[in-house]
Order: sequence, then structure tokens, then C-alpha cells
Amino acid sequence: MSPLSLNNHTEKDLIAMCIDGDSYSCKQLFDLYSRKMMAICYRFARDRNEAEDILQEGFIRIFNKLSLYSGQGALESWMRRVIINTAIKYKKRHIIKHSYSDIDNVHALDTTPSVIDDISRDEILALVQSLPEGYRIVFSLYVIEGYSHKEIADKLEIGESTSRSQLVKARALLRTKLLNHRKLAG
Amino acid sequence: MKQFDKELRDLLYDAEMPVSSTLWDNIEKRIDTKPDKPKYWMVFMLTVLALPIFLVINSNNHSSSKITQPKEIVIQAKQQFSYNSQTQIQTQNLKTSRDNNIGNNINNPDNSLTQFSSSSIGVISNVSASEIKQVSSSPFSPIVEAKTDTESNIQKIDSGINSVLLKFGTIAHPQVIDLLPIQSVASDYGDDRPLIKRLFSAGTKCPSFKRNLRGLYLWSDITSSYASQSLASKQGELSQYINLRNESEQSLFSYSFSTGLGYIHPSGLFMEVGLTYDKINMKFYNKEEDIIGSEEIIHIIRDQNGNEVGTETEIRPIIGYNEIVNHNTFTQVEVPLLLGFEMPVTPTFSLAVKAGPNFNLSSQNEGRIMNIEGTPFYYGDKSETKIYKDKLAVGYIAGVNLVKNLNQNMSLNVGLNVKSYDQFSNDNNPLEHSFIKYGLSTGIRYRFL
Repeated sequence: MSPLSLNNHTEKDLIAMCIDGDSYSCKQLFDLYSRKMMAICYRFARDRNEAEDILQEGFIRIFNKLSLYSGQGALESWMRRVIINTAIKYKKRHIIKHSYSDIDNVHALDTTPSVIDDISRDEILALVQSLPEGYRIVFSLYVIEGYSHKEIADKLEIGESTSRSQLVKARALLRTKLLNHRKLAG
Repeated sequence: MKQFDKELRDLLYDAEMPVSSTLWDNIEKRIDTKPDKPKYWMVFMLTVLALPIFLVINSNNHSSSKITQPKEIVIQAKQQFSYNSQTQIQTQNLKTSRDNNIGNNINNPDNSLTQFSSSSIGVISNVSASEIKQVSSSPFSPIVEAKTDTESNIQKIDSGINSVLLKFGTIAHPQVIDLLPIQSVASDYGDDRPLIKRLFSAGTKCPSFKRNLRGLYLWSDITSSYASQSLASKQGELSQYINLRNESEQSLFSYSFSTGLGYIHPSGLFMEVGLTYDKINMKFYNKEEDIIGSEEIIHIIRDQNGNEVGTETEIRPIIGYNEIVNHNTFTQVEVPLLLGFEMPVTPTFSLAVKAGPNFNLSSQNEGRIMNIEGTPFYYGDKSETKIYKDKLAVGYIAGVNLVKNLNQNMSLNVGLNVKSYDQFSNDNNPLEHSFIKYGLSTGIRYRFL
């Protein structure tokens, strides 16, 4: 059962009331989805503050563009897309100069079947968060959100080959971090 | 790799994180809630609709005020009987009183009460004549000049329509007609039928105002109007884009100026041709993010042991909002060809209806709208992007005017009109775009031939 039905509102009703500018309905929608959207924002952001900045911009955009939501497909998927687009737009405005000492040397791929069995979600989230920003964004878009390299290349205005190489490096670095984490924990 | 990715996706896709309790407050301050806006256009249209009614009522009030305010007036009336100089006149029924009192007064020359009545039109008033004297020596048609103190003792107006008829009856009197410079009026008293029937039924005995207006005249009109935009998809489903356009564009007050030549026939039929400068104003509004400054942040990257492994310099822009407001314009030059009919309703007021085609000579446009991706862009004659025609096909105009005749040559008018246009869109435009304008016009006519 959708949590929306608990308040005797269908999702459609809630959207209609939000479009009408009903503040209470907007708050309801925010409460329903903000925690999930925050996790998305966090994967794109440097820290919690930046994630909240993105989340704030994302929800403002959601409420302003809600009338454009056609009703086809789940609202959550539409909101995810808006939040991701907002996050990408946000990050594009941040001109980042990287100077890594040893990160680019990570190429090896560990083929161990699973390295995440004994690690909690929060710990993995923290490790993903510790990836360099470029890696993290490509990794999140490809692995978690299911974007193709072409879509990532279009959105980030980079080449497809760059997207692929960033992903390979992100995977390798994350796997290394996971192994190290297991060793330290073990 | 796929297994690794899948495990991570399963774990992280639905991940949640707590949100700061103050975040919603920040969002709420910045989202557009939509309080019920007063429908200004409805108020405007109601005002415009009420205006002619107000003018008619006001003109009647003016007429009745002559009765209620104590002042001296001169009543001239042809009477076929003798009278008493101390006669008190009570208006009650024009037809019956005239007929009856002619007889009464002939038979009873001492009768001190002469009754004129208009009960059929709902007005009863007592007018005491302080002084009445005979100014004509003709025994058959003496002119009575009554210098009266018009302090009305009784006045009962049943309705506005009835009070209008009183004015008709009064003004239509043959002696009063001579005082009117513009029209000659022929009337027959005593018709008890309702005003509408008396005005429009065949063989009516209502007062008929035959206007001696004919010939050529110059005319000029200024119209302020509200342009209602109509967007429709040429092909495919573009409802979201249409919604986006309607949300970002709203009508402003538009106007047009027309001048030309007209000819009116004594029957009331008239024809006008002219030149119109017509402008449609729209407002484009969009709020979008913009960089209003920047700050530089240096991040130190450390490994798990706390050793510095690198630095990262970030130039973080300060984000603000850029509100874009643009006035979109559509400017037309047109030739209206109007046929109409003018019908006198009082000695000084007429109603005119007119309609006809409107031939477009040119159309220019400039402005900013959302494209189909939701990004604002410029269009128009100064832009490389042309999405509207340079010349439209025929449109149509219809209107109704209240005409106030100032003198034999000059008249003013005020009225409502509706104007439709051909499609503005050219082949580059995915939408069909047209307007209907609802306007309030005022103008002047000057007869010179």
C-alpha cells in the first residue's frame, strides 16, 4: 500500500493539490520522498551541506515543474530524474580543479566474487562518498541509477570513453577501499 | 562486474538519509504558492457591460431629476380648450387625461384641476402650476406657457424602462421636437404596450425617432483590449508544452487605433472602411537559476591515517535567481471593412451594431517564449528564429456601440467589440497560435457631407 493512501489521498490528488499551491500537500510530498532523494543528492555532493543545497534546489524545481508531470510512470522515478538533473546542473557550475597524487594509479580490478557481504549500507555509502567526485558521479549514474554511458556523456558533457574510464577507475578504487575496510574490520 | 554492480545497486538504490528539519522551511519560502488571484479581467468585463446600462439609467435619472428638483420650467402644450390661470396640473394618464380633461375643461371651465397622466408608463407626479398664461391668441390652438414650480408631490418609478418611456413621451411632444436640433420625432401617445414591443413590433405606435443623418463622415476609434491567447498542437501530443507556454505567458492590456471614412444612410445602415494600427501585448515571465558571484574553497584530501594525499580547489559559484520578464508584442496593420446599423433609442443616444472582415496588411512580432525543451529563446523579426507569419489572412470584427450625438455633425461613441485573427504561426512553429481580443472602444464621428 502506498503511504499516500494512509492520508486518504491518492498520489494524483496530492499532486493536484501541490500544483494548486497547497502548502500542506507540498509538505506531505516532501516528507514522503525527501529522505530517499537526500541519499541521491549525497552521492553527488561533497558533504551533507552540499547535499542539502542540492536537495533544496531539487525540490523547488519539483514543485515548480510538477504541472509538467504527465502521470505516466511513477512519480518517484520522475522526481529522481529531476533531482539528478538538478544535481548535475549544480555540479556543472562548480569548476573543479583536481590534483590527485595517487588516485589515477589505481587500475587493478579485483575479481573477488563479493566484497560487500559483511559491510553495512551506511559503511558502503560512506566509502562511495569517499570516491573522488568525478568517479562518484559517473559511478552513481551508471551503477545505481542505471544510466547508459551515452546518457551520462550527454548529461555531463563529456565523451563516452571518459565516462567508461571514470567508471572503471571508480569500481577499482571502491573495491580496493572495500577490501581495505574488510581487512581493518577483520 | 555485473554482480558487483547489482549488489551495490540493490543496497544503495533505496537508501535513505535523514534531512535537516529546517530544510522544508527554506523550501517553503521559495516555492510559489498560488493564492486566489482576483479575476481582474472579469471585473473589467463586468464594468464594461454595466457601463451602457449605467449611462441609460443615468440619462433617465437626469430626466426625472428635472421633475423632482424645484425649479422653474416652461411647459408648452397645444390644447384645444380654455384653461384657468390657477390650474393645478396632475399628470396621471396622458391619453385618458388629455381626452377626458379636454372634455372636462370645455364643459367645466372653472375646473381647477387639469390632469395629464402617464400611468401606463409608471410615473405619477403632481405639478402645481404657480403661473400659467396664454401666449397664443388662436382660439383653436392656444399655446399654454406654464411657469411652474415643479415640486413633485408624488413620484413613483416602477422601473427604469418605464421611466425611459416617460422621457420619450415628454420629448416626443411636437412642440418640444422643434427644439431638438438633430432629429425630428413623431410620436403617438396612449400606447400601453411594453417598451420593447412598442419599439420593435410592426405598426408600432411607439415614438419613432427619424434621424436626418446621412452622408459621409470621418471616424476614429481607440480600443483598449484584452487578448486571449489560444494555443493548439499542430500534430502530436504537446499538451505539456502548451501548459508551459500558458504558464509563462500572460496577456497584458493591448490597444488599437483606427481611423477612416464612413457613409450612413437615412435608414440607419452605415459602412465604414479605414486603417487600423493594432498591437497585442503579452508578458513572458520565467525564473531561472543564475550565478551571482563565486567563492574559492580548498579541500585537503587525507588518507585513513590522516596523511595529506592531495588537495582539491573548488571555485564555487554563488547561485541566485534570474527573473526574466519580457514584453512580447504582435503589431498589425489592418484594413477593416464594417457594415452596421444605427438605431436611435433616445433623441440624443443611438445604438449601433457593426461587423465585418478585417484585412491584414502586415504583422510584426518580437519577444521571448519557451521552446519545447523548456528553455527561453528570442523570436521575431530581429531574431534568426521566425515562428510567426509576416502577413495574416482575414480576421473578423464585431461590436456594439452606444452613440451620443453632440450636435448635427459630431458624435461620440463607446462600445464593446470582439476581434478574431488568423493563425499567427508559420510552418516552423509546432503550435497553432491565435488570439481573440475583447475590447472597450471609444471614438468620435464627424459628418462633413
